[in-house]
Amino acid sequence: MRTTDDSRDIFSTALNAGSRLWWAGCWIRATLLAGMWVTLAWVPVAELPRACGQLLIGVIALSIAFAHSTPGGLDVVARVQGTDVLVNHLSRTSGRATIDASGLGEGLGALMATLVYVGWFPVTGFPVAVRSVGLALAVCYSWEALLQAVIDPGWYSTDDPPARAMRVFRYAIPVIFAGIITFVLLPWQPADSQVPLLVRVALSASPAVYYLVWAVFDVMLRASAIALRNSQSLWRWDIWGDVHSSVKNTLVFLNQYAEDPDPDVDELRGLIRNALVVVDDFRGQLIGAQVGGAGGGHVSDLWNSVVRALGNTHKAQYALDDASASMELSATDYQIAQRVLPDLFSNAMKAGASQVGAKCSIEGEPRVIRVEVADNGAGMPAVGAVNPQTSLGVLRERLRERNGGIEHSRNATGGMTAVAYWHADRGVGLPGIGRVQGP
Amino acid sequence: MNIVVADDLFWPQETVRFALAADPATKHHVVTGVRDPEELRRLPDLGTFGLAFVDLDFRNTSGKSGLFALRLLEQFDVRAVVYAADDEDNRALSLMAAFRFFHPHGLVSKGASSAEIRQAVTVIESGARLDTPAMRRYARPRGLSYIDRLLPRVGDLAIWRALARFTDRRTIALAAQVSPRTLDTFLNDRFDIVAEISEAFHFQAPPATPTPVTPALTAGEARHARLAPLHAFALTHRRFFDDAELEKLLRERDDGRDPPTAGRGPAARR
Repeated sequence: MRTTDDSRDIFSTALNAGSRLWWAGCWIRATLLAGMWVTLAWVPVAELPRACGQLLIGVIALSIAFAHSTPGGLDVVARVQGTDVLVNHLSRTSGRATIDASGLGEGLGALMATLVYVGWFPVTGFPVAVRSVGLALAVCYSWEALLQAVIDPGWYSTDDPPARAMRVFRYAIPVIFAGIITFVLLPWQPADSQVPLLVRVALSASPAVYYLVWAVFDVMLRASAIALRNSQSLWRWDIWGDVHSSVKNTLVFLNQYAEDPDPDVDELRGLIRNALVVVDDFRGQLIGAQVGGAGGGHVSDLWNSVVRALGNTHKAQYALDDASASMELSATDYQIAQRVLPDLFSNAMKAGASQVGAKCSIEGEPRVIRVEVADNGAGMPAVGAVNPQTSLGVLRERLRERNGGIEHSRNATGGMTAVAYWHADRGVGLPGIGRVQGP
Repeated sequence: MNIVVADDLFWPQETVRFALAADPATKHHVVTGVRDPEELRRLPDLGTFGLAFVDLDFRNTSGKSGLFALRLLEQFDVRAVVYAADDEDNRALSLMAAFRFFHPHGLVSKGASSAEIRQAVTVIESGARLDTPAMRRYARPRGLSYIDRLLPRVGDLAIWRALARFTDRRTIALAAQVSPRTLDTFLNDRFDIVAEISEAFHFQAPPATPTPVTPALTAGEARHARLAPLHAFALTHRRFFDDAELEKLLRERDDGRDPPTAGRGPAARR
């Protein structure tokens, strides 16, 4: 098995985190923007239209960002007349780390929102406290938007690692951003100087926190890679245990039977077919296609394993009766069926069938399980070893132990229908089909 | 004699039944089976069985282990043989615990031939116990048993469990809620017994003792040199250390409470 490469795991985690952080970021920015709209309550009516106009840019940009990351979101935007060009552009850039209309819009929106409170043409009439709070909200908005760039998964890409110059630039982002904030926050107008110096200094210095976030993010990424490696190793040992329990044990019993003084060759064939089906059943459990296996399970899972292990889809069509598919067998009955079904199935194959159908039923009291395989084959050559009547002899004898047997009859297609039946595992109190409530 | 086979797989039960049916001398035995220990507990007529074949690992069907089944069988006075893949290294501790806490009448390997199965049943039917080299490996060595040296306190389970899940010393200590110093002491104290068990049961190569190989190890390196083999050991035996029944047995041992059938079995239990 391949060993894990930490840098790949780190990149995968960064991608997983990136998409979720982007979504969370949209909501955080929406909240901040909502807060800025609230501050407009303190604006004189004359200034209101301009302030609203400036904040509206952010609203539109953020709506596009939401549409970008919501499934079907862009389709909603496309319903608005004249947005074709925008939607086409956005669907091209969706999911790619590139400068697009959405990003530019948010940048412009953040700047215009900041300029509501400070800068060269600030809105007048804000109480000092409201202006400071509004400014803090606007800076936080840009801060959050740029955070996405600082911890962008692209920095960790193994497919397309960032160039050296870009990696250096990453260190410079907080410094450049701090410079921009400081510049915009200079007291350009009398209204600007209302904002206390302490607030302005704190906001200017805030990008330094990026370094902390970055460091924490990196630690989390490395920790997740280690956790992944540890769980992979646990998983490998578990799988090894499962392989041992289901597959190796089956082979141990096969080997043991083969080593017995006088093994029956048909029983050996049956055990080998069973082992093949167990391997395919195990595959089903491993890839999560089924849950049961040796611990009982659905008839459909067993059927799929049998077809996969023994069938040949070039030669024949295989069908399981719909009602049987969801039927559940207890652990014991499932394992008996794991022996019975492959034998009946392979006999149908040997008879040259081009269509093989299977059915399972559980009826009566005590419960009797019937597994039926119908084929349209011409029948088997009458040579002793492959005669179904003899090759199923051992199996028949085993089923007799459970008050069962095997019956053959000719069906309407000219082929054979074989039915194996046995009394369901008596069970001892577990509810469920195929089990009987114990006293 | 009524015989019950407790195994998550159905075919071991058939193997026992086939083996006994093949000889006129043993064909009078009636063999039935259950797929998990819970089912064994629900058997209305459990006390009527003369013998049980018990597997130790029921990963496919149940969260309960063979230790749970053995406790149950002793409570109902049913003789038990452990029926396990005894040559798999991840079974060794379960087998040791089975013989440490209970009194199974024998050990029958999953690879046993029909003749061996018949012989085991005949011996036990006569009232004797099996005495095979394979079984003697797991029966308690003189002095403290391996299990008692590996897990002197029930609290050690938390460290073994953390050792399987994590690879970093500080994380292991954090997960086990012990100080890193306590963990170091633990690693130091358990290193020899792990080496001894690994050697006695031929698991791969025994873990390398750090000092002779590189005498100039720093204290930190020495800690790591002990951590890696113990982590591997904990990983191999993870299912054993995770077993809730084991925890219960250790707690009973630590509390000085006697295991379920104390006083019934021959001689003292410790």
